[in-house]
Amino acid sequence: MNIGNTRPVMTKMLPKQTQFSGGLNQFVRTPQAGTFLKLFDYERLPHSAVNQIKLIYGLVIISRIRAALSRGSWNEAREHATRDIMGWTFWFYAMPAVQRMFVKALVGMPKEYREALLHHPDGAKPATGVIKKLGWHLKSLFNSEMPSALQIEARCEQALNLIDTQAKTQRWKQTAVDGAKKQVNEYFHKLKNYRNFASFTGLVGAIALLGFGVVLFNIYMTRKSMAASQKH
Amino acid sequence: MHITPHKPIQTSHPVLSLTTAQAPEHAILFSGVGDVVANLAQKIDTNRILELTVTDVGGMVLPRTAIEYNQRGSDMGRETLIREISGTLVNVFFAGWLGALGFMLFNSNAVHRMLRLNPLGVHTGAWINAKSLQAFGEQFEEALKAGKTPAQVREKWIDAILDSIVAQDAHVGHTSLHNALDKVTSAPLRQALHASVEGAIPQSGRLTPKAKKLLKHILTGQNSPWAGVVNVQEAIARFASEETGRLKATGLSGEALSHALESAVRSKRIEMSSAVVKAEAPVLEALEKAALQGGLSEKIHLLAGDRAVLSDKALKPFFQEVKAFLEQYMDRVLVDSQGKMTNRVLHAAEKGRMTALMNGSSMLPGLKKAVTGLIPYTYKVKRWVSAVAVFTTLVVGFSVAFFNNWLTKKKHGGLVFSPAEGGPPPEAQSTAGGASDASIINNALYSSRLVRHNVGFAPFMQRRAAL
Repeated sequence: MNIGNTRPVMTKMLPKQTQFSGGLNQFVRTPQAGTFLKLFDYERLPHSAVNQIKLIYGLVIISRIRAALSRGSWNEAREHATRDIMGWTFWFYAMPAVQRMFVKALVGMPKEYREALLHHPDGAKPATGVIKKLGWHLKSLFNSEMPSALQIEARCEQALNLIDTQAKTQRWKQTAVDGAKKQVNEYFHKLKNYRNFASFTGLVGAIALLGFGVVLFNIYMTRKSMAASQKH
Repeated sequence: MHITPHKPIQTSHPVLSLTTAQAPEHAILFSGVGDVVANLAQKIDTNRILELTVTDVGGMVLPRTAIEYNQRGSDMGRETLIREISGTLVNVFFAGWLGALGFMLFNSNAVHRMLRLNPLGVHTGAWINAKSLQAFGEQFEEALKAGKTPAQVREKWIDAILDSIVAQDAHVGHTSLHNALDKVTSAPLRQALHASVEGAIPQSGRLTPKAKKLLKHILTGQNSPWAGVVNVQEAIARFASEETGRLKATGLSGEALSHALESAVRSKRIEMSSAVVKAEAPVLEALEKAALQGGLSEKIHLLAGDRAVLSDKALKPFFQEVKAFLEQYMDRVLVDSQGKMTNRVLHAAEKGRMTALMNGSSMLPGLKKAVTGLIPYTYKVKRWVSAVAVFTTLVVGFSVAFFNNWLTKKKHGGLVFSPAEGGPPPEAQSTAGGASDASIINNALYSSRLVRHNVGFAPFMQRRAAL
């Protein structure tokens, strides 16, 4: 889905308006928010906007590398680069992909749950072409529609409302209505749990990789490099 | 075990309590531990900031500090702790806090009396994101062209907004509804339910006509929860006329009178606006409930044609923005001098005045420069506050790594070294505490890579092997 302006930026080309201008020029185009605000305005105070965090974290990484170099340590600079660039990417881009990968790859998840958790924006997988298929899979990891647990709860409530409406208007047997509610509830409960387990996998993956893996890898690499430099 | 609804629906669905008693046996995902994990993950997942904090504190600060301390000693442990904690505070929170503080100062009457920052009395406590503000402003333009009377313009704007909301999860949501109904065992009931889905929750993800009507009623109607909220415009108009009399009685006139009146009205406006924001919860709740029952879900897009002008907006904050725009911008522009929304047909000149009040601009730098339009003025304020907040955060974030360098250097008597490569050079350790000639020379040699500290490759879990 395209995001952006639906109309060209015309504001600057229009004549300047005075407060009491009327007639033909009476409509001043709505002023554009501008690139800075569109990127970095707060979504909800007092939380930082995600784009702000991206920028700040990105530049802080540079400052860490610079500070490491200023005390003459290439090893430390390399450590910061490895750890933080990986952290930046994982925080902002890889975690949703890991969640989608979980849904795609979890063995034993019935189709009725899988198709309710992931929807590819382009629809069905192309029948031919290795590259086309690969592109389709990549796109599905980053762009496919995936509901949050709250959205699933909202859908559950809608389904229960549907049953209620039916029960009111059509005079179904109470046992049938109760059974239907129970079955619908079970389905959504399980769907939500699959969704939450996907989130959990993303979280555990992030912590394992960024909290432990990269740190240990860095220590290993630095020791190796120190040992190698000592041999000379 | 059943899905915990985000609103208590047990009262209207007594049957739900039956299903809680019997957990299905077959699925591992239904077990007690699984539910705890799933609920925890949901709490983290639904709150972006919480997600970042948990990943950062639980996943980065604690394990990283522990590992670094164990493997490479106290210097590295300290540096890591400072780096990671500042990473959480600065990267995740600082800009938000500074922004909140900035807007608080901007809305404060006391600060305004000193600095005259907010001549238009724009209340940014009723928060509207810049992109939403632009989208709403563009819709207002269209509505002003189409509508004949102020009340009609308002109605057309509301119609346009409600027509262009779509659920973000339209496809998967619809699939999940049908799949859930497939589970119903009673065949005739199942068929009837499947048939009723499209009428109640359209596959397009848009609102049903019934829900649109209800939402419109809440936003405009006399008997809606909205009616319980203070009408800011009327209160301001009344206050202004009273205040004029009072100020004239004190002997003010001309420039001084208008100045004093403007200031008083501005203060009153900010005061009333915050009161309205505090009282808006029931309206928002009613809006959210109506929208959820009308086929939307927790996240929405706002379309213009077939493109999304706003995407992935959370439902309730979106309605909060809609409400704020109606109160802070549109009503203020559309009402007459009595603060009332009339049904009088508007002249072209009046429409021009309204457009100017909404959009008219002179985009001079500086907060105090006169701007006639509410929207450009809001942009200007937002630019200043967020730019200052982000820039300050960047400066703080930048200084942390250098602070770490300085602290380690100070702890070792001016010796420059990276604890990542081991402790300080052993020859220099004896002189630590005062920068001797030897340590300075050593320092220079060390950082120019001529002297290496005796650190070899050591197995990982051997505690502090390298030291």
